[in-house]
Amino acid sequence: MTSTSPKPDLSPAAYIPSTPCIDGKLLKKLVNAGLTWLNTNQQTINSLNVFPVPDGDTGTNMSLTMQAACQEAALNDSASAGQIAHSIAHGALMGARGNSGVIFSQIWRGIARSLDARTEMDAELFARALKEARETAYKGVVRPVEGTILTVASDIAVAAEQAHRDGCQFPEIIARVVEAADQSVQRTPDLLPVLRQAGVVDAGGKGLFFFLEGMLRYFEGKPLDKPLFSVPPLESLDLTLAEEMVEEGQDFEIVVDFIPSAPLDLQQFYANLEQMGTSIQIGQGDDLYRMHIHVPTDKRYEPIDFILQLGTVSKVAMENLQEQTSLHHKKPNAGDVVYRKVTSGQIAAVAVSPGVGLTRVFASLGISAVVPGGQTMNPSTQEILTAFAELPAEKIIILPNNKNIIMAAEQTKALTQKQIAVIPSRTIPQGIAAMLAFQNDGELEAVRQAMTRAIDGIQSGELTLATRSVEMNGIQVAEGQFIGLLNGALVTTGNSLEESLLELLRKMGADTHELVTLYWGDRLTPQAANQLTDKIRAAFPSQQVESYEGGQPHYFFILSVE
Amino acid sequence: MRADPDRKGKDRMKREAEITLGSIRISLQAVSALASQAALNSYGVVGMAARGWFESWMHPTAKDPRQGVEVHVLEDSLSLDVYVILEYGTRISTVADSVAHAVRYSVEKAFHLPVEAVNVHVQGLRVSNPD
Repeated sequence: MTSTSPKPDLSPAAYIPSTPCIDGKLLKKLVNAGLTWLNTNQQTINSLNVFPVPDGDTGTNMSLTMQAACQEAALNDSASAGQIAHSIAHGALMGARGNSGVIFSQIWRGIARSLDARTEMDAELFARALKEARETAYKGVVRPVEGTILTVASDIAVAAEQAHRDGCQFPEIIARVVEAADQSVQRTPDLLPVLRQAGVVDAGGKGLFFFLEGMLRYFEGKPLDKPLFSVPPLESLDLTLAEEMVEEGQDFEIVVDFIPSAPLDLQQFYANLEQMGTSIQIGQGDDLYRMHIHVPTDKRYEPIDFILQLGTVSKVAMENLQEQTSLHHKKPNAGDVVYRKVTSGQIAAVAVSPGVGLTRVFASLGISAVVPGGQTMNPSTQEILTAFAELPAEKIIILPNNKNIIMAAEQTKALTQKQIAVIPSRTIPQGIAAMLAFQNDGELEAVRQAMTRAIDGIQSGELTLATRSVEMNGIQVAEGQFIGLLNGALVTTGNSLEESLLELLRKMGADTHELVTLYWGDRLTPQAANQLTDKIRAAFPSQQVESYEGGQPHYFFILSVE
Repeated sequence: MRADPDRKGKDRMKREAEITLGSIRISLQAVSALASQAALNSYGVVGMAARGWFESWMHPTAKDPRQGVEVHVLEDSLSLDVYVILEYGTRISTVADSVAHAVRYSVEKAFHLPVEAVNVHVQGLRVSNPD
């Protein structure tokens, strides 16, 4: 979050009893509360995002859209609800991000139009505003897809109308709307098959629900900064991910299926489990709960004993994780990488790549062979030679992608009949930039020059851990600290991965460029990488951020800015 | 990663892929039909636009949605031009960005062909609610 954002008021409001009208000041507070609750639950929303494009950014987009709206509202001192609604609508329009953000801005446009010059909003006007919001939202698309945020916007308009007819005041009418939103979100998988297949509800609809629920929680004086514990259905419990997050000392994985004898107090249940271990996950089926936890060897029976007191245990599974992970360690499989086929007379590209993900990226750009290697595992001249010896092409381009490998690559020239050109790529992003200029056909020298030119202007960053204490470029580094390298030179150091990553991007001048690309290494889980990607998106809202699994060892992130 | 869009392509060619039993041919019409479905399902898009001054004068919104999409075959990827009419009052740049993402995703997913570029041309706005 940028420092200019208004500090949402985290302190819960005193309980606000039934009130006939909402003025501009209260509207502003309610919208801030909605935003705060949306922010709190952002990751939940991101994890649901499968439609229309499964890129996992719906929550981030909605948060950023509403943040822009709140910033605009904060500048307006008017006490008129209509004036504030216009500011919110304007801010949401200007800050709209992604599909759901655009729909959200249309919803606010409809609300602002109904409130227009009115200074206060009563229950009747609220119902009318939601109706207008629905209509404006539906006008923005020729073929409304049901089972999305549009459906939820439609259902809450109906609920508000009904609640108004039943004589509800604030906050009851909002409570009814939140309830309708919740039910509507639960129904989205019935309307949209792609959601049902993925076993999720619609992300945008859920975002709208959280926003409304945040407003209600403000009325009720409930806290907004801690997400509620929720129990996902059993089938969506993904324990393979948990397996990859094994921490030092957490040697055993315990999975217990049980039927509680009394309704489970989730808050208390989590709190008790947190005393025992990490990677806690809980899923719910019909009556049955499944609990997953990683614990150290000496505590391996504790979760089982604990759950035995709560109900009937139907199944216990215990696995030695150290054993498991060593079996799993051959996980990176290069089997599904497809290399570009070349014929005699064409040019073949060969790249040195430190990880499977990066190999895949290079393969998609058209390399014909790969040489595994990189920092601390430099391939020999012979290894590079073997990689391309069997290729039918006589013209070979080598991308060393590391300054220590350029020499070895050059030496292949003396050992083969083939024509060799070495591109002096010192980093992975440079190699990728060069590959974008690569062509199979043409003169070797011309292609070499085009690829070499493509390297200029690429800012490469690397984030890793310092292996020893040192002072470089006037920067003190202690062993075990995170260090950020810009084009090979040390520029930043820190104790937190997130802070170091953002600082490195700032040093790379990310805010003055268009595109930030991340390749995350094998020390990170997909989940952790996604979370950090979201943080970057939030810190650099005007830049496009793309994230790929690089699979490289040692480096948490390899970054490029262009 | 951003690819160079100026690569020369052989336009108006059928894509062919070798499989064990023969080959698969995908016509450009199939690609453009799919692309226009994806665009039309994008929020903010209210129609595909006809191209050419005469066509667009006769029918500002294309009757056959395939008219709103041009497909160019590059060496081993595609590049698409999409002509759309958007709803007035939405953030045009964001909507255009979503269209590009949705089109690329659906074409790549359905045909397994890399899409190098999706150029979105906003040909007009429809005003439902002036404000």
